[in-house]
Amino acid sequence: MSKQEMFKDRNISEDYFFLDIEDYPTTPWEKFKRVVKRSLKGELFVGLWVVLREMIKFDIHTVQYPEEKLPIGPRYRAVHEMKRLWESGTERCIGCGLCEKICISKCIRIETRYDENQRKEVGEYSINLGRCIYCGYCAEVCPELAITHGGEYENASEQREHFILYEDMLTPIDDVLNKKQREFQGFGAITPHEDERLKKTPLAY
Amino acid sequence: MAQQPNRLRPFFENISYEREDNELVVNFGPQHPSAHGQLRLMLHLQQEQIVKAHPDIGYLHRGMEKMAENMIYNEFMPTTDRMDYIASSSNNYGFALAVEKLIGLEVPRRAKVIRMMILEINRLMSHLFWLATTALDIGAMTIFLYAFREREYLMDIMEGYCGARLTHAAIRIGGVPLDIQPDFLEQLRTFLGKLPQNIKDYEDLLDENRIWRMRMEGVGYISKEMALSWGCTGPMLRASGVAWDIRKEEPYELYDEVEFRVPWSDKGDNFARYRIYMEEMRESAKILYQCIDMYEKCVRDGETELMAHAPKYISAPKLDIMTQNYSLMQHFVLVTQGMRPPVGEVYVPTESPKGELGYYINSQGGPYPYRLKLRAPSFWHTGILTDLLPGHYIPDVVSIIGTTNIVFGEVDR
Ligand code: SF4
Ligand code: SF4
Repeated sequence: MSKQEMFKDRNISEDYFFLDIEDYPTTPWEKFKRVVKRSLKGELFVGLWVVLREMIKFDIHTVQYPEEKLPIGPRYRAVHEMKRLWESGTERCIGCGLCEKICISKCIRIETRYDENQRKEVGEYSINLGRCIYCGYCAEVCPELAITHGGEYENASEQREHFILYEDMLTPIDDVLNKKQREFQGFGAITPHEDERLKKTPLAY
Repeated sequence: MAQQPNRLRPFFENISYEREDNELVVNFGPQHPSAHGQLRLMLHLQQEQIVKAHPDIGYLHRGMEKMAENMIYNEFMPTTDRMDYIASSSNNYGFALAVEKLIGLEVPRRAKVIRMMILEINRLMSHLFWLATTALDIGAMTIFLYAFREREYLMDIMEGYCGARLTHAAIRIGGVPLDIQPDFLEQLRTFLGKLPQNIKDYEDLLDENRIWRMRMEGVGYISKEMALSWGCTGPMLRASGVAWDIRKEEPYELYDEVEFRVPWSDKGDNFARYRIYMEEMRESAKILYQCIDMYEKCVRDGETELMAHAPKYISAPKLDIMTQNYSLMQHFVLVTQGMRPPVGEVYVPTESPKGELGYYINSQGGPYPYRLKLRAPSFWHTGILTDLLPGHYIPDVVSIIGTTNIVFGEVDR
């Protein structure tokens, strides 16, 4: 019993409080008394009243889903999007492969190649949405804010595997030029007002 | 007589049992809705009474401990979500805290406050879920709907914070990934303002209800010795007459700065557990109010750090990564190779909504943990069913499983 010593004689009055639960009736007479007392108090009607009160409030919380949809917050983690640069409209992704490396369920696949100017270019980029767990780590590690999550969450499909390609995720170029692209605010986003903290690189050495 | 099952002579368990001592074997689960996921209970019955119970687990086994040995530390975080998926941030937190202990990291205060808020929101979520499902198992459908409605508010708050409702991954090693969203405090205050009335409604519906009392009172009695010897923690232990809460005994985070008291009782039965859950919800609300004040003080004091500054282990903030070469290089190394904590081992217990959630990490200095052991409270609370159920009747099984609050993501891991 030595292991139980530590539970004995502790001063627990400050941190804990003892719940006051009355003793349960043991003899038939006490039980009978309690039944009578309860019935007189009308314990069932209390419950009925609580439910009735909720009912007549008409404070209805049900959302009729396919017709009505709740708004999705700016940090919601659903199907990925690939962003473009604001100024030029070129793709942000540089094919560094960090998202492929960190992905917990190993559902991102990237192939890169040289383009005609001997620069790195993303060739094949696909995400298997059937495996993705929407953890947001790809968005968090991306050093270019290229891969982010979007708000598209209705992705029922007939198969388990459901690949989404780079072109499907990429913001249409028109959206960028019309300034309709939305920055993702969730994991991996730059903290607002963070640039105020930033210091210029000292030039004088 | 041992039977050799084959296609012509199938194995009829029940026949052989009945021949021996007239017991009926009933498989409770694994698909029974009140068996909380994937619990299979093999009950040996004498009429309606249970004489032997054998919980059979493993239907949700994913081998998390082994998975952890093949993952860098950061990568394991979303996996912990899938343990106690009712309150996933508390699992994230336990892991983050263990790794922080291992590398000796001090988390900025603002991150700590946010973490506390997330933890207590998760505790409320878990307790509301517990109340809803237990009441539903026992037949009180109204409570289920009400409690789920309140839980939905909390899930919305969490969704606004981290973007997911169930598997949050909302805590990082060394801090939190994001600041809270602009309307977080306001939403939380609205919710907390409504909570006392809601809890009172639940209690009005349940406390005096004679069906509820009959299903709860004196059912599933766990004595102090039994609770201690079966390794019960959390509300299960506190209902059995041991006042023990890790938030109080070994305070982590800022739990030593907030004022709250932990309920305990010596009744040891379902009803005591129910009361403890209800009181803990009230205490969580108190903690949340204090956290809101602490957060506002942090904002006033101009503390903006959300992640600890430790370039060896933690990537720099995104803006630094995008503007400074050294941060970018560091980030690439940390993502592709992972952090390498020093050689050593830690065991860090935290008080998850269900009890003591402990992470044991043995690090050999490599980017992967050499061994990671998870101590999940529900596992032990499943074990006690062997000892607890005999003597009870079939309907009591449901209410006892309900009040043990076991979640199978956590038991099987
Ligand atoms: S959200 Fe997670 S699982 Fe999905 S692609 Fe990104 S890193 Fe992989
Ligand atoms: S999406 Fe981001 S992390 Fe992934 S390859 Fe492109 S730039 Fe790298």
